Amino acid sequence: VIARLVFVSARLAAAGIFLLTWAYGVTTQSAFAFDMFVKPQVAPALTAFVSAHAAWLLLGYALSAATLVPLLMRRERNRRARLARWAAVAYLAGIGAIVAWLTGEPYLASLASGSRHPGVVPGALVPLVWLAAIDHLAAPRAARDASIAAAPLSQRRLLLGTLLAPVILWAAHLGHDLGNSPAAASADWWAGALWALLLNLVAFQAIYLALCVAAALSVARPRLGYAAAVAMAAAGLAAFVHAAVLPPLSIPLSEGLLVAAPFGAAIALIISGLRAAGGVRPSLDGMTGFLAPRSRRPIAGAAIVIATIAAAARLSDVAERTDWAYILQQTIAIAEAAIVTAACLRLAPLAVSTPSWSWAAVGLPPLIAMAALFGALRGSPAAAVDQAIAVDPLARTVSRAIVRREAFDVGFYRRILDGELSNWSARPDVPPMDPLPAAAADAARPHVFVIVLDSLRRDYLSTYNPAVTFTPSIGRWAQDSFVFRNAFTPYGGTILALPSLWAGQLVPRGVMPVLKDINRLEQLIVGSGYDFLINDHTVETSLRPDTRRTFIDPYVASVNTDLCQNIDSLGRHLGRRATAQPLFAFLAPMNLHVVNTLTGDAASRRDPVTGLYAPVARRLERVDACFGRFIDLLKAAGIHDDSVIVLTSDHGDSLGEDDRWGHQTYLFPEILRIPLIIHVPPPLRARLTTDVGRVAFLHDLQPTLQHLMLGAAPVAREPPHGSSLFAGSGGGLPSRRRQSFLLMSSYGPSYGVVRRNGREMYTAEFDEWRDYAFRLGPLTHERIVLTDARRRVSQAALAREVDAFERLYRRADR
Amino acid sequence: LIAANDYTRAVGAAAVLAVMAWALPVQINRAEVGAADPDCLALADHPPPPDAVARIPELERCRLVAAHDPDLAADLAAAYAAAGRDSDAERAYRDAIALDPDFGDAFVKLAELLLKRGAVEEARVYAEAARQLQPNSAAVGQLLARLDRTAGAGTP
Repeated sequence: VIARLVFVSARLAAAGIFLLTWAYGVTTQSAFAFDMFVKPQVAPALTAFVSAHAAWLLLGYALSAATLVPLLMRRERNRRARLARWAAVAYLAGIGAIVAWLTGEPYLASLASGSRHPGVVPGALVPLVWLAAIDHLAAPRAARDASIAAAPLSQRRLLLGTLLAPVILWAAHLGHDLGNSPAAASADWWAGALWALLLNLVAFQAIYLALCVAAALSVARPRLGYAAAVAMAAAGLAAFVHAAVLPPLSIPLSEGLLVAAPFGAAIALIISGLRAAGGVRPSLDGMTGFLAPRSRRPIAGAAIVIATIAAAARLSDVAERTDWAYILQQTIAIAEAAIVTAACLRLAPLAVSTPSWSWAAVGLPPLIAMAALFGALRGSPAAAVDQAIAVDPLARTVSRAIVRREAFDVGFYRRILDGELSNWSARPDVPPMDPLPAAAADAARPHVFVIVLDSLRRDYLSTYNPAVTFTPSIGRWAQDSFVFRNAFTPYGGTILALPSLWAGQLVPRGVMPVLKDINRLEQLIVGSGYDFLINDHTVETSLRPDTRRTFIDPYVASVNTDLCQNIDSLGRHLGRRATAQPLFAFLAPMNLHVVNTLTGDAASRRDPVTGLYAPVARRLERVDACFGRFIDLLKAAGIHDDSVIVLTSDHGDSLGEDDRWGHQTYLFPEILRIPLIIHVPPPLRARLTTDVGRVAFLHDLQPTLQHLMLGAAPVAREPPHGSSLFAGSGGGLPSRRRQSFLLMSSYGPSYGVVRRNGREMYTAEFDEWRDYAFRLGPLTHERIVLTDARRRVSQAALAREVDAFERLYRRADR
Repeated sequence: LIAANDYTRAVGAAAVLAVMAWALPVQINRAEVGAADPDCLALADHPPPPDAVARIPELERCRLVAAHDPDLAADLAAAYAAAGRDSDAERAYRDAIALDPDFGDAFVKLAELLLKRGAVEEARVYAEAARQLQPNSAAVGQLLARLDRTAGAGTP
């Protein structure tokens, strides 16, 4: 037992190292993923792994080589054993040579953003596939013979296992949600629960049929059946990675296939290889028991099922409050389902296999499940399916595969997905920037402080929400400032929101390489001779190399950036400044980002009176105090009344609304509505007019700052450009009430429009084939029925805005 | 069938699986399909035409269909005002403001209507609200000046 444990542990550790190498290679294939995760060093452990990759690789090789020693010492002389030994020797020599070469020339750290190294992704999996091949060749003959004697297949087991597993999983998920959801046990909740069961049963009946195919083949030709089972496992894993994991990383579907397929094959082979090496004959029985306990004692199986469900529930709770919740939760749901299903297949009564199968058992259960689903469709299922998704993470995954919304125009969204704005890889053609206009003769060149507090929601500020008591400093400061009441970010994530702020226009996903060519705010800062201070990890690296700037708090990782620390550094900079240049400071701290606020039991951390999420409120209280200190600092330095001060955010966050958390891939009002408060020096204020009730956008900030810094309104531009939020005193701003404005997720395939001066919003998720309409009040919003007519009008508006966007960036060769 | 060989069984199971794959995915959403008029939902996307008075029947019909559209309410109010139906216009502007409390122009128009019929104090409330939304606006400034003059003169 100990030898087996050591063998499996060493093999899994080696597999972990090779798989991490593979995952890093995948990350470098996507400019987006590299910029999001690697460049800002989101995971310091990953950075450390890459830095010392040669040593890790050597360790992986040593561990895998150690697992081959028993095989090399075996004395069997049959053909398969000899082949296995030769394969092992070839592995030691071949992989050893590659590892030795890579030790001399560290390779992983040399991979850069979006660089194409097609070899590294499948290459990292080669050792794993090789080891699996050795394991299969070396599978002990005695074990194989014994397994052949014991009839491995039973249709009844397949059927019972695939009926038992979804019911167990459903009951477990229901129990978990019962303790967590405020809507639990309501009539709608039960309707959703029944739908979840139905969806899961239908999906598991499809799995049952697939296993039946492999089982029948296995009886006729055991090796063929085994190959079919491994292939199905590989295909299932690849399909999941391809559909759920790679799209949010912005890896195109065609390239994704080349990534997902080898991964699925490698994982299926690793597991089957380990079981083969452990003496389990490579058979369907071994395959269905992939992850199940080898013991057939019910107590061991039940323990595995219970432990898996408990671990999945805990992991899902943790994942729910992370930045990429839905990918993690789906992965957890799939892994949990795989382990529980395998355990159920092994635990189901071991009826002796008979040569004749029951055709009724093959055909009837799947068809009955499908008939039940179609019968249920006669009701009013949309809301119930949405509830099912909320109740059961497995149903959510299943619904992605088998539920389509009738009126959802798939072709329409595919066209958007294929277009310029969605493509991370395409380098957009950008129109040249106009030269910076001359400053007005009486331009005062104010100091400018732009604070973009990542993920700050407007309803967490007393300025917008009278129920808030924890932001008194910001509240006092806002009384003398312009408070824009209908401000939105066009993007549900930082990676595009901040570039749009700097460019003063909407930007496509592939913007980063060309941002310097459309960065009007940088042009303005440099052209106006400002002393430039910055703390930001999104845009700073895309500024022109010759732009002089001071990066404050440079050694603080992106996720740890802190407004209070920034203010201290700013104070020190102000204290030792010897220049007469006006100051431009841009700070984008992460104090309130979901990665910093979502800890512990989120549901129980709501303020009972306001319903606000306490961890954000607590952090914001500290940030507010630091903001007050910042204002005092400017007053003490005598520059407050000569300063333009902007407080805004790049996006909001879902903080538990309808069980949603975070902001990465979808678009909801709480993510898109942002605070926007602009303090203007009093003399300048008297010369300006605005409409604080007019819909405003993050990308209006650049032309607004240009207006305030140069003392002259920039030329008004139509969307997708932003425009100044001010006009000269006595003048007026063009109405935006009849316009629609494009919204899009920075990461996921979600798009939308906001209309009617920010009172109506339509968003669509291609991910789950769903769309929504919202009516927005000053502080709250409600979801409204999406009729065909409303959908048509909204999609027409969306199409117009997408066209305007694509005209701006259309490449000359298209 | 029972005596069929194992390949036939595999093919049979695959056939049922194919039936499932063909029948799925299921489609839902039927209950959400409504009958609202898309023309009404998009009517306020366009500036009101010069003959807005002639379009009052269409605007009134659309107000019933798109009852939550503040701009449609404001367009109807403007058409009523152009037709001399000031009380209807006043009601429609109040609807528009109720639907969008940040609708600065509607505050101004409503205040002007109220001033016209002599409700000076109520007009001032709406004019002050407009000033909060549109500080230093010329239109609001002129309205407040007229209000001051009217209050000083004691008559509208």
